[in-house]
Amino acid sequence: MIDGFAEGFELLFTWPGPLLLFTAVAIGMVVGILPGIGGAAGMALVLPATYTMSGSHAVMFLLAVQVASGIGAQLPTLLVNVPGDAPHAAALFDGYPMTKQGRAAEALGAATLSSLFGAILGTVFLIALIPVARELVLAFSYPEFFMVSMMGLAMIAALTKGATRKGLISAGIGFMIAFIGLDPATASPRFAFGQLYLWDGIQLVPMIIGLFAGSEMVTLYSHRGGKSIVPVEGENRSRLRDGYWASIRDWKNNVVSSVIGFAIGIIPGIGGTVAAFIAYGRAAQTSKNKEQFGNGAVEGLNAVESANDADQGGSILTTLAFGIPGGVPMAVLLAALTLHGFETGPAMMSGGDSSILYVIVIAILVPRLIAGAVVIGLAKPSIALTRVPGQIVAPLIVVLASVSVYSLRSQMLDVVAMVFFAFLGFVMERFGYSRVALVIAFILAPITEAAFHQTLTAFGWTGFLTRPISLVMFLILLLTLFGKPIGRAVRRRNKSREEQLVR
Amino acid sequence: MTPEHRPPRTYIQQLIFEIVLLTFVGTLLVLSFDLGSRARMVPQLIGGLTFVLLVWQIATDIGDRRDMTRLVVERMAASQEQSPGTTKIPDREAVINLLLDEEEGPPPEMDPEAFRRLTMFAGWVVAYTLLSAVAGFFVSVPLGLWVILYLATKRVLKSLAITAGACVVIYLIFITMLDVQF
Repeated sequence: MIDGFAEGFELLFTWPGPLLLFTAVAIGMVVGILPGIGGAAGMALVLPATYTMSGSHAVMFLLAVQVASGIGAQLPTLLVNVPGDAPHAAALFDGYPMTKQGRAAEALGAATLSSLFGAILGTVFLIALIPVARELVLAFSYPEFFMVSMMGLAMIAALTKGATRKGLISAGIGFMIAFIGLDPATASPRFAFGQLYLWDGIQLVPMIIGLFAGSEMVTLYSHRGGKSIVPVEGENRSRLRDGYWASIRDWKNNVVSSVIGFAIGIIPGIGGTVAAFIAYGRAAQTSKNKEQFGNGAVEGLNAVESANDADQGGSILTTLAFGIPGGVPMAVLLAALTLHGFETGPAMMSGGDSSILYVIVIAILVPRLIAGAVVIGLAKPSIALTRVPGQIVAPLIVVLASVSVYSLRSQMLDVVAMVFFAFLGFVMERFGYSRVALVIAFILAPITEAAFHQTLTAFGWTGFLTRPISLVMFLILLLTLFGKPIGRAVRRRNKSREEQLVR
Repeated sequence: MTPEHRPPRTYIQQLIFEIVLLTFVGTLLVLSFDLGSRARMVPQLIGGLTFVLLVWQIATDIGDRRDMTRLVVERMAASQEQSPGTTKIPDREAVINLLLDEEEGPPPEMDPEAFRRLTMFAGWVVAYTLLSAVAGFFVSVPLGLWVILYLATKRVLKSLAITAGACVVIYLIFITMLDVQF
């Protein structure tokens, strides 16, 4: 293993390794800062440029773009409520409120360190689990996918306490919007109203940008008028160091969220967005400061960032062990691996060329350190953006978001969808409906429905509970939903018994 | 209906919003009957539950409003009985909004200036999107940005400078670097 790492580092410092690394970080950060574009698009963009590189350099270059885009995405997410990519959507819930409270530096510090924490744990798990990867991945099947998505949906109850009915309605609406498009069971169009555009369904990125960034810009322009995101008296109340300490103090949350992120990353097709939402929901449910969640709880931000980055380790494990990409970025990585003659899947696991594994580990960690340092260096000038008057910053962000959304698929109707969701988000917020619940349900709906039908076909109605892992997941789900009320009832009963005995 | 008996606008707006949601869910539910049994199974289950929850929410909102009206009337009557003629009768809408706030209900209405800005910005967003669809981003980005920035700053040069800067950044990133075809 030590030899493998030594080789990996040697490669990193062999010319043109350093140049490629810094170029990839720069490209990744620009792509990450752009609203909604994300690492997958960045990787696809630079893939042709890797044809002339050596195999190891190509893999390092691609992963560095993806990693740096994730770090770059923190800036718009935390500072102006515009998610840099889909997995960062969950970071909006507490990250942006922290900025509005004048705690932008703390948010950036906590996010950077928690993300590093998640990445380190994710790679440790990756190295540790490579020998048992096949058994591990095969242990997950449709019933487990279904249970994972149900666990994600159960978080809605935790996140909408106090307005559960409205939260459930929002989730229902999210589901119904997600049902638009091709039906996963029969691949026939559903609720498409004869529109070809709707056959692909509503896209996640325009929806998230519209619901959160768009509606916030409408609010910023109308309510605050000429004022900025952060009132002048609220500036500089926090420092990056406060954020680092907040992340270090919250190490338990970071570890649990990383485990969640990694475990979900292993499951093909679920991805970092779901991992981030589930980790956030768990943190909200178990935190002592539940009421702070959604209002600038640093624990929420830590959970999202660590889960998001640990997820990468899990998805790489599946990609290497089976040659099945866990998501779009992994599909691009797999394409690069194949192009450069690396064998993935069983051949790699059974003693093939495993040196690439160490290159991958280094390519996950080193660019993250560089990109993290860049974000910290950029913290002060980028926080200045929050002091620009809302009447200037809001139109600029709307224009940038619209161009970014268009550039994803060259579809003008995606921009129209973004505007529609901006107004929907504004109205939902005004009347106390949860945008978070809508987004969680929208993301989980296709996974839930597909896994539901696949379980029925492959295992029948009993399949949900007869496999050990899905049964354990079901019990965890029950505990999540009913653990506290049952605990309260048991305590009440014990107390009344004790009182009777005293009498 | 006299002004003092008119319900607060947020209440009516919320009701309209909920009815729109109900119509959306109802429409999809009706359409789902044309689908195959597997394709409609989950949408009907989730849609049915959402429909019931929405009806329940609307009924609760109407019920809450009735209770609040009764409470407000009782409070007003009590304050008049205690000191007839001297106590200022509380503004009915203000009391209802206060009660709604206590109940985590909809936020109080916007002030007219904020409402004016909201309509202006919303109108600009719609116009900008339409212009982008019709004429493309090469026209809509500079024109749309300059118009809204000029309306915000009332200074021609400042708005032109910001617009030019933004256009250069967008051109460099999206056309030069990302090779997006507008």
